[in-house]
Order: sequence, then structure tokens, then C-alpha cells
Amino acid sequence: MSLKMKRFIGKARSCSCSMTGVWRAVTYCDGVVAVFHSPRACAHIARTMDVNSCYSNLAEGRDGSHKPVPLISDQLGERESIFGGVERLQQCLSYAVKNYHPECIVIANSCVSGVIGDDVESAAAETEKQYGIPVVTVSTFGFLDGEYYDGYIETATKLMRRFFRPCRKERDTVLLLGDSGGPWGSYAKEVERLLEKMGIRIIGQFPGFMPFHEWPRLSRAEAVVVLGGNRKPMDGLQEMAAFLHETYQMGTVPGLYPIGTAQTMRWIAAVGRLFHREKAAEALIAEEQDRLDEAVIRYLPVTRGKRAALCIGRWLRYFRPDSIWEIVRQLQLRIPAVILLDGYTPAEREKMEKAVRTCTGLPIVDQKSGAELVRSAEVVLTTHELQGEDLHQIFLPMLPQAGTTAAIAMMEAVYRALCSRQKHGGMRYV
Amino acid sequence: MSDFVWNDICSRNDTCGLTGAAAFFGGIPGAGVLVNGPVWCYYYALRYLEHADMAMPQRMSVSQPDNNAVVFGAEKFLLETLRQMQQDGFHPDLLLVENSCSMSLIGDDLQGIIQKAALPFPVVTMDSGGLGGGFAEGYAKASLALLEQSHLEKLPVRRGCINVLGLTPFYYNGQADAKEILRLLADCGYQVNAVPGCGSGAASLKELSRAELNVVIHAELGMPLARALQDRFGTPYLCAGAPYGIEGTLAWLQKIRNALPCTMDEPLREARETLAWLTDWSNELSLNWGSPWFESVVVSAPGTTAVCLADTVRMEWLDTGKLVVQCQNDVTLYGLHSSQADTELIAGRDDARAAQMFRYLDNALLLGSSNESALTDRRRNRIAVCNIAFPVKDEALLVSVPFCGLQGARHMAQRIWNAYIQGILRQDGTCGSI
Repeated sequence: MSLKMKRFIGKARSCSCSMTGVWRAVTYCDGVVAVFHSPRACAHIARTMDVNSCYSNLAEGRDGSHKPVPLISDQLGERESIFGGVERLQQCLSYAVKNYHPECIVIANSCVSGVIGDDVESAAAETEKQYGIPVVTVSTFGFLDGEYYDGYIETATKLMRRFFRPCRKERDTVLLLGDSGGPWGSYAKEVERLLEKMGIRIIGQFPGFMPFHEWPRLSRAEAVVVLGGNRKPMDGLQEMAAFLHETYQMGTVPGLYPIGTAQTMRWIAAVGRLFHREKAAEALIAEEQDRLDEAVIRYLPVTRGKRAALCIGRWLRYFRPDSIWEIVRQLQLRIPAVILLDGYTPAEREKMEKAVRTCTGLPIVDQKSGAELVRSAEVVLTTHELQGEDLHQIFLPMLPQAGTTAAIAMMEAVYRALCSRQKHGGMRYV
Repeated sequence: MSDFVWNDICSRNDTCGLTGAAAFFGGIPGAGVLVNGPVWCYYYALRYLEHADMAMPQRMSVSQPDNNAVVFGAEKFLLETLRQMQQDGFHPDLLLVENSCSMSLIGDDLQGIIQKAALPFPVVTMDSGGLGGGFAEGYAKASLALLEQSHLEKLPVRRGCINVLGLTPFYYNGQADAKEILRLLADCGYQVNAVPGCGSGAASLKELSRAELNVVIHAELGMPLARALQDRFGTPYLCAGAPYGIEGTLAWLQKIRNALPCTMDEPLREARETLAWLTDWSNELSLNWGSPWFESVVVSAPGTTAVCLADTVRMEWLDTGKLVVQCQNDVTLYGLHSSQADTELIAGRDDARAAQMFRYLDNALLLGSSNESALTDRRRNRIAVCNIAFPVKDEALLVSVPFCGLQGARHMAQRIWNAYIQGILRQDGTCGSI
């Protein structure tokens, strides 16, 4: 029987939309109004993301009631598609200024405005001149000229370069840079826990989660911690961190993230060195190692030697196999081969194969050859939901998750899946 | 300055025309959808539709044009996707190829490209996307595209035969509601000829002109097709709205009966039985919990659902000091409005008022979607929630029991009672979602 993905989308080209990236860079920044230069329905997608995020927070017992800033669509219609949308945009910007009294406006451009060829920069500059408030826009247009992260990074970079100011440093403080689910998400929470144990305080998270009036004072943090993982989209955040280091002398641990157990320990040590808290870092590493060891001891009797399948379908820029491989090893799961799902271009497949080779010497097989391995596995670790009611699947998260807490959560999911006596399987999300 | 109003979109839950068009064809068994547009638009449409039909990924594809398509057109991406679909063994009875909004601006000759592909199944093409409006506009436009491109002939009319228009499985609980509506019509002796976009296959759609009457349920979805069918075949139509509650359902049937005679004996018998049963149970529950009361009730849903359900809420289901209706589509255009609402808000026109209202809502029952729930302060205020529209993030509705009709009367009474009881049980100030 063949192996099929529930939703197969070959990501050969445009994967996402830059508008939602722009939105995410200012979603919770009081004082800002976001304007989508787009048909109204484009804003619906941003709203869908907010509602999803609200309920994810509630589901994890966190407050889901954070209020986003106003999001307005200038509601491009068929008329604008013929005569151009700049006039409409300017009217909408004036309306926003008069009715919402923003301290700053950020404009995201749709693919429609890109095709029409609207000069959004000029419209923004004119509004800025007329009302005396900053109006920022980006060079991406929906899926044209960029994707989600391009919109996000360009917005964040522009806001940082324009509004950050030199400040007197506050000792033992950091500014979190990036999103990864926001301050309420598991990533930021884990980073906060680890930093707190070393006596380091977070002053905020940029972009997206700090009010406009706070931006000029964010360089008071002694250092920047970039949230994310070793993925291509994070390069933009690393460049921002480098700028902050150069311009405002904010320390950083370049290219290192608390993802996976080994890297988390290295990250703790690096942060310890940065803040001259090597002893605290050393103690924390020992503590975290104990925590991990305890977890492994708990799970191993159930997981040792169990047949598992590892299915990878995401491109290397979105997924690195090393941290899940650490867990496979620690839990002593038996995996005969690593399965690469359909959807890779030859070049991308080669990149992923190379990354897998750095983890293991096991054979790498394609989706067709992997079908039997999946069918016979007691648990399937996968980046894509697979068709088959009897499969016990664990979804490998799109966003990297941080620290030993994430590693233990993944172990717990594997353990629970293997404890299951239900005949039908299903998907577990960590 | 323009008198146009640009509001925060937070209190609207409308998707785009691309989703609506895909929903119309998604409601035709055996039909497929190919989106000529970016993955992101496709993916969000797909995720929306999946909540009503988990098999949608197997019959919905995307062409993924790149930057160059803006200059050189999307032909090569479309042809490549069509080739891949056929190679994968996908042979629909009917295929919709719809342009997203940006692709519709490029000016590709979609029909010409499809001809070049020489497909072994019929294809309907259209421009879609947000430029033309939301879900309802997309659905309606797709129904008209099907009509225009199917070259239907006028067939002899069958007596007592009706088409039911404006139904969709892609509204929340839409499949169960459609089933109940068709059951009630069959119980009255009507022969249902076709239900475009909700269960009728490509073959039976060719017989649309056989109906003696077109009955429109959700006006925002079905009215454009009803008018077009009247223009083309002279078939009269009735904008009946959606039936909720016992009295509401009987009134709805009576309205249709006035346009096309039928017998109502069976629904009347069932209504009497349902009323007796609900009265007994309501009295029993009141003994312990008192009569359900909310200071205010807010109904927020697609236009027809909102106005029809709101009237039943107040006339049959519970008592309240204030009833607010928020219509996600302006159905007053079709003569539908709530006779019982104290305030009627229209999405797009009254968004600022709506957003303010949701923020300060307290001691209230919200009949809406998770979008509105997310706007309320459920941690501090007493708000009971009963979902009646997508998106739904806080409820599992896994059984096929309608909200509409006589069976729906029982179901909705159950849901409202449970929301009320859960609210009393949770002493921390928050209420349950049912």
C-alpha cells in the first residue's frame, strides 16, 4: 500500500504571503495601526492567524485575550484594479489617522497592488508629511518579491533602524528578538526560565510585542537573544542582532539557539560567558542535564527498541533533523531508515540528505520505499500528516521549540503514543 | 475625503471569494477545484473548507505561479498542474479552475489554456478572489459561472418539483442542516430536483430548468442564481430563508406552501410531538436551574442564518433584555431582516460598534463563531457561547444533528440549555462553550 500525505503541497515556488509577516511584526504594538493595501479578504487571513493563536494560548492554559492593534484593509476592489489603488490607500491612511490616532502606521502590500504597480512608497511619504507621523512600508507585495519572513524581517529591520535610540544600559537584561509564538509561547517561556535561573531579566520582545513608545528605549538591554532555530529565515534576525551589537553595543550569541539538548547546553554556556555568569551557567547545565536524565530514565522502559519511522518532507531551510535525531537516540527507538517524503526538488533533497548524514549513517529512502517502514512502525515521527487511520503519528513542529522542556515534551509524546493500546492511531501535536 | 468607512477587520469573519467559489464546487460530488494562484490563498481556503469536508485536499489543487507569471502569464504553471493532476489519477466529473485576485489581473485566457490542455472532463473557469468580495460573492459567482458555461437547455417542467438554492455544506453544520431541510421538504411531498452546491452531482445540475419553483435558503448564496434561472428559464423563486425552531419551521414551510401547494400533515404532527417533548424537558430543567435568562443575546453569523435564528431565539428559545444581531452579509437587500432584534449590525458598515460591543459584553449569550468569542473578555465577564458559524476553535461537533428544522429545534434547545447550565456551574465568572 502506498504512503500518502494528507495535504501535499509541493513548495517549488511561492510558499507564503509577506503581508501576514508584516502584520505579525506589529500585531501587539500599541500605538501602531496596520494597513493592508489589499482586498478586504487578505486581512481575513491575518485575523484567522490571530484567532488560532488566541485559542492555542488558551489551550495551553495561557491568557489568550491579548488585543491586537487595529488592522485595516483599504479594500481594493475591481475599480482600483483598473484605475490604480494609490488614491484609495491615501484616503484610507487619512481615515486611519483621524479615527485611530496612531503614533505610527505600517503598510503591507498585496499581490494585487504589486500587479497594479501602485507607488506605495510615495503614498506613505505623502501621508507622513501631511500628518507628521511615521508611515512605514515594505518592498514585498503579497507572494511577489518575498514571503512571510521577508515581510516580517523587512518591517522589523526598518522599525529598528528608524526608531531605536542609544540608551544607558540596564545590567543583566536582554531583549528577545523574533517571534516563535510570542511572549506567551513555549519558546519565549523556556528562554525566560533559563535566563531567570542565571539572574538575567527580559525587558521585552521585539518586533511585534512592544508598544511603539517603548521602541526608542529598547537598546537599554545589555544583550539580544534571537528566538528561532538554525533555519534560513532566521538569518534576517541574526543580521538585526549584528546591527544592534555594532550600533548599540548589545551583546549576542551569534548563530546559537537553545534548540535540541546539546545545543541548549552550548547556548546556556555562551549566555553565561556573555553576562560573566559562568558559574551560574555551569550549575544550570548540570540541572538541565539531570532533568533530561530523569526523563529518559522514566521513558526508556517503554521506548527502548520500539520500531519507529522518521518521515521528513520539509525543506532544510524550514526543518533541521538534528534535534529530533537526538531524541530518537536518547529514547533508543529503532529506525531502519530515514524516509524523505515527496515534494523535494533534487537540489533540496540533496541538502536534506546531507543534513541527515550528519546525524546518522542509516539508509535514506524515498516515500514509496518507506511505505512499509511506516506501516510496521509503532510510532511515526513526521513533518507532514500522513493518510492512514492506524498510524500513531507525532507531528514534528514547524516552529522550533526550545530547551530541555521541548525535548522532554517530545519524549513524553513518544512515550504516550507507545503506551497507547488504541487500535486506531491519530496525530499528536507537541 | 471619501465617505467610505475603513474599520478594524477584527469583528468580521468572512473569508474570500476564492473560498466561496471552491465551496460551491466542493459541494458538488465528484467535482474538483484548481486554484490558479499563490499557495497561501489556496492553503487558507483549503483549511477553511476542510472543516466541513476533510477529503477536500484530495480534490483541490494549486498552480503556484511565481513572480514571472505577472509578466509572462500563468499558462505554464496551470498546464503543469493539470498534467500532474491527471498523472496522479485525478479525473473529476467537473473541474473549477479559478483565478486568485492577482492572477485575474494578468489577463490570461483561462478558457484557451484549458482547451490547450484537452482535458477529458468538463471545466468551468472564472476569475475569483477577494476583489469580487467574500465567501458569499464567490459562491454566487461560481454558481453563475456554472450556469453560463454549462449551456443548459430549457426542459419540460415537472409538477411539484423544486430546486433548493443557497445551501452549502461549508457553513457550520451545513451538511446536517441541508439534510434536515430536504427531509422536511420531502415530508411535505415536494420532489427535490437539484440542490446546486450542496449534494447534486454534475448530471442532475443539467436538469435545473425542470423545477416548478426555486426555493432559496441562504439568500446571500442563492439569490443571484435564482434570479438568473428566472431570467433564463422563467422559473419563479422564493427567498424562504432558513428554518429555526418549531414555530419558525412551520412558518417557513407555510411560506413555501403559499408559493407551491403541498401537504403539511407530517411536519405538523412532528412539530406537536417536538413541542410537547421540549416543554416537558424545559419544565424539568427549570425546576433545578430556573428559566434561562441572559441580559443580552448576540447573534453573529452569515446574513440569513443571523436574522432567521435571531427571531427564533427570542420567540421560542429564551428570554433576554436585549437582542443584537450582527449579519456578516447584508441580507436586507433580499428583504430578509430580523423582526425581533433591538439592534441590527451589518459587518463592514457597523464594525466599530460591533468591536466595542464584544469587548464589553457581560452576562450574555453569544451565538456566533470563535472569531467573536476571541473578542470578548471571557476570563472576566460571564459569557456563554454557542457556536453557529465558522470559524470554530472551541467545540467538537462530531455528530450530524442539525441546527435547522424540527430536529434542530431540539438540538439548539439542548445547546442553549447546556450553555446556560455550564455558566451557572462555573463560579469563577466564566461560562462554558457548548
